[in-house]
Amino acid sequence: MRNGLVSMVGYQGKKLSSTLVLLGTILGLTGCFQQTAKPLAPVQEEAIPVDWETLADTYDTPMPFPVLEKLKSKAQMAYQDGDYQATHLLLDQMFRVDSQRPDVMALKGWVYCQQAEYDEAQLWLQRARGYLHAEDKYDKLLKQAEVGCQ
Amino acid sequence: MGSDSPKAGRSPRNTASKKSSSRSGQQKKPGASTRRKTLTGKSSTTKKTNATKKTNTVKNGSSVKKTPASEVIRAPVRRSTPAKSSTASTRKKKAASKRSTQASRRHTRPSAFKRLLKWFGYFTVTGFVALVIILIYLDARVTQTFEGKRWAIPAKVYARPLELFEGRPLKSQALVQELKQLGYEAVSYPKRPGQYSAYKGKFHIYSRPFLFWDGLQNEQLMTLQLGGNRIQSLSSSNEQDMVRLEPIRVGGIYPNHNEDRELISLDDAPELLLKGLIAVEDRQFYEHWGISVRGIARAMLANVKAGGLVQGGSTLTQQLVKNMYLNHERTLSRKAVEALMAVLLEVNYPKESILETYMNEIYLGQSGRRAIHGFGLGSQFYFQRNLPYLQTHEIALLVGIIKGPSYYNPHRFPERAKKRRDQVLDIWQEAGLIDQAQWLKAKSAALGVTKKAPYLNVEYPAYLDLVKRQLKADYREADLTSEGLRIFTSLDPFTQRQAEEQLSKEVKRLESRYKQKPGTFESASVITDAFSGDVLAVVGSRSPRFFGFNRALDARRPIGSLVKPVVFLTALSQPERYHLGSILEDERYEHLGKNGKLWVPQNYDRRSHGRVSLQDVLAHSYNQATVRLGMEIGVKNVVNTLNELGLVREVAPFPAVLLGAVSLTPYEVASLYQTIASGGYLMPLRAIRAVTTADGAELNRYGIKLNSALDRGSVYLIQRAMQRTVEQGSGRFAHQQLPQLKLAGKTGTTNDQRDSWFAGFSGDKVAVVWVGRDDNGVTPLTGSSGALKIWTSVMREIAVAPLMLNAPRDIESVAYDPEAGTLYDSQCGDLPTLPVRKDSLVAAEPCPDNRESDWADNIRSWFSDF
Repeated sequence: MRNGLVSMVGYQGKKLSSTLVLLGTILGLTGCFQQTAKPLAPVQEEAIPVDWETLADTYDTPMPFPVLEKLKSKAQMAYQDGDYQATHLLLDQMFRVDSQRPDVMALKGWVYCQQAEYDEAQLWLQRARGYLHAEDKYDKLLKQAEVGCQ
Repeated sequence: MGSDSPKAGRSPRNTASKKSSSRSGQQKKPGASTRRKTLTGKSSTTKKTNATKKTNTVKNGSSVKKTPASEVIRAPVRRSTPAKSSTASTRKKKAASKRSTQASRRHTRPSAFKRLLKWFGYFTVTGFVALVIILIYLDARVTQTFEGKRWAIPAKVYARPLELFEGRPLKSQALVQELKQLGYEAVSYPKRPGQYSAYKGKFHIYSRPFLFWDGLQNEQLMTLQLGGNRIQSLSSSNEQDMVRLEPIRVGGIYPNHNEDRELISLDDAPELLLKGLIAVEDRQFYEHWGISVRGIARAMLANVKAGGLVQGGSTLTQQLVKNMYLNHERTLSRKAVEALMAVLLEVNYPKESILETYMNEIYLGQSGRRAIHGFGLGSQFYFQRNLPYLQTHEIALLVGIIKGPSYYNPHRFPERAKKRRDQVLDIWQEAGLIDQAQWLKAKSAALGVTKKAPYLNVEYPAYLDLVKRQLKADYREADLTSEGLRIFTSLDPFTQRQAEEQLSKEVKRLESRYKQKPGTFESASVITDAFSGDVLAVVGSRSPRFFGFNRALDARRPIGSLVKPVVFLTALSQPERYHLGSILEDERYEHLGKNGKLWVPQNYDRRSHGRVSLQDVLAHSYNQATVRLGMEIGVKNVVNTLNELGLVREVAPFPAVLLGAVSLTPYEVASLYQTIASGGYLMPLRAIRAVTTADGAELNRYGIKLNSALDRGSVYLIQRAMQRTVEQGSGRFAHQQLPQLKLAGKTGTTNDQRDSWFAGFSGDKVAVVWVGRDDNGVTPLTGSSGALKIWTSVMREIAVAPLMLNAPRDIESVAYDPEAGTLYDSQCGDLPTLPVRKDSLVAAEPCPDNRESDWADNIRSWFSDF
């Protein structure tokens, strides 16, 4: 029993000491930094308006195929002309080229939203968000879009 | 003398005859006719005789009777004229007598010539009336068909166009097959549309123009470099980043008579064709009125000179009438009708109209069940090119074939076809339509018909069947078979061909391996795109060209263990209760049914396996544990999940459903697995992308749509479990063959091994394969030994992308105890990890004490909390 107590104390002691050392180091470093650095202004997140441009351009993973950029441009022109059918056609073409692009799915959802097909819009936006992390800026944008398309 | 005075009641005829008899009795001349018929029809001879006798008796008697005084006073009787009477009745009698005379004259027989004339007159009038009626009828028939819609133009069904762009995954073999199927000619360097060259992965392709559903794409010359199964670079004369080859025509929806044609106008036809056709078939076309006596005579002379039939005597108009309205009987009556109708056609319509109709009507050959009509389609059928692109010798061949498309079939009888073509060229040269140089060049040219490759002009009946069924929701049968609609589908010809070939080959191999008679097994397959729901291929039979029973769409068979992913998905949708590592009891299970029968499911190996993790139960397809699990979560919930995955059919929630006592078609199974493969998004499987009119005006467009979604976290977990099934379980043959694809799937075997199934997916394709017997007989096949083999062969050819699963945000990877199924709230040393839904961590425990974590683990766990 004595041996068990000793080993338990030793084990916990090791864990505690390593944690304390680490914490001290970090705090020290942080304190130094705070003394030399200027105080940072509080970060305010700007609300990005949800529209075709932001949905098309905010996702920063580059397109794997050059043709996708061309198709996206054409889809934008069709959208601006109000031709939703042609827009869907081009987005579908993009989707077939690369079926894991959240921006393509998001744009499809957005167009359905403009057509007042909210159920379909929600599904596409959710699908897009499934490829993004929670802290992703683009995910926040899509979440806004989801709220707006209800 | 005698009784000459008329008495009441006696007929004038009698009186007259009496008078004449008395006269004749006294002064009878030899030969004079004394017989007259009375009105009663009786001969008056007797009376005359009696009178005569009376007179004679009087005379012959010794005593002479004295003439009474009254008789003496009366005037003497004239011989031939009846006695005049001053009374009205006498006049009446005279008139009656006159009529009687006339009547007797009418009954006099006329001469033979007059009778002949009379009957001729009757016939002429009757014949004329009949002719008029016939002409009216024929005229109505001619105009009714000729005006408005003359033909029922079948709908044309196209495969998906092959889209070429930089970076696109594409095998060289697939591109070459596509080009061949489009009838592209392999040359050293393409100079005109429809040609290509290939050398060490570098392709030059001169594409043809085509009117797509979104507009016209002009012909263009492109250069692309293939490498590593991708298009590494692409440039085109139109400077487009994406170029589409024209889609392969994969079939049509035909009217009952199976005629097919590609309508052309006179403007579409080369001038040589118009003039050449007339020169060969009907030189007097612009001069006659439907029939040409000169033409007949000339043809006879030409045939006599040639010693055989080289020219016909029928005009183009007559030929048109024969093809459009009549049959091909060689009888005089049919010929007569044909002549009449030809004249009526000429009377009603201008020459140009008749010629244009002829060019679209003429029969030019057969392709399976499809009858090739018209030069527009004939050009494509024989030369894989549109009419304006044909050369002199090719046009000559088409014109020559008219005389006998079967007899001069260039595929089967090239020598005959060449001889006939040369005859046509000779006629053209004589007529001055081509000069000497052109004539020589054309005669020395080869026939030029597209070689009859096995994949050329091929139809895909099982896929067409699906297309028709999906179209019926929006179109009437009549519209589909008559309006010339253009239907653009998702069919991938390469995938379809590979599926057909592999299926056919592997089924034969299975029969051989298991010593079955050839033809014992049947098979079917459905392949879709994993994310869009496009149906890429449908194979309805091991003999795919056969328009028979479409097993892919119509063979409902029990799915067996294919249902297990649905059972486990239902369980994983309750994350507080179940995760992939949950321990299940694979022990004997008994269920007493409502009918009083005891149901005791058995494992395949007739053994129980004790405590097994959920994912291993699925991987090894243990029945007992599955049934226990299913009964815990509720059979109705499992049926609900089936519906959420896309099953429309009603399923009764019996416990046997948990082991696949549900009969579905391969298409329905594909729909269920499609939803799983896409990450839980239910979308309808679609074979059609767009429908346009014959002129290219859009009628319908079918975009990619989502219907609903299941919980992504649960679907992700079942995908992982199905991947494990292929890596370690009953589907491991596929993993051994294609480890790089990281495939996921499930085997299915039904009672007595009557059905062998495999359903699974890669990063881009979902495929379902069924093998069994049409008579539902027992087979030696399991899902692993049968369908899986075929499935793997198919995926080897068609799958390009590996399955890279994307964990949704509510999934965490944590340590767990495989023996106990316990989850820990973090990673614990070298304990195995498991993806779980966060909701499952409610019952998670801290890492066990004997699993020391070193300082690195502490830092990791600290940061993960931060």
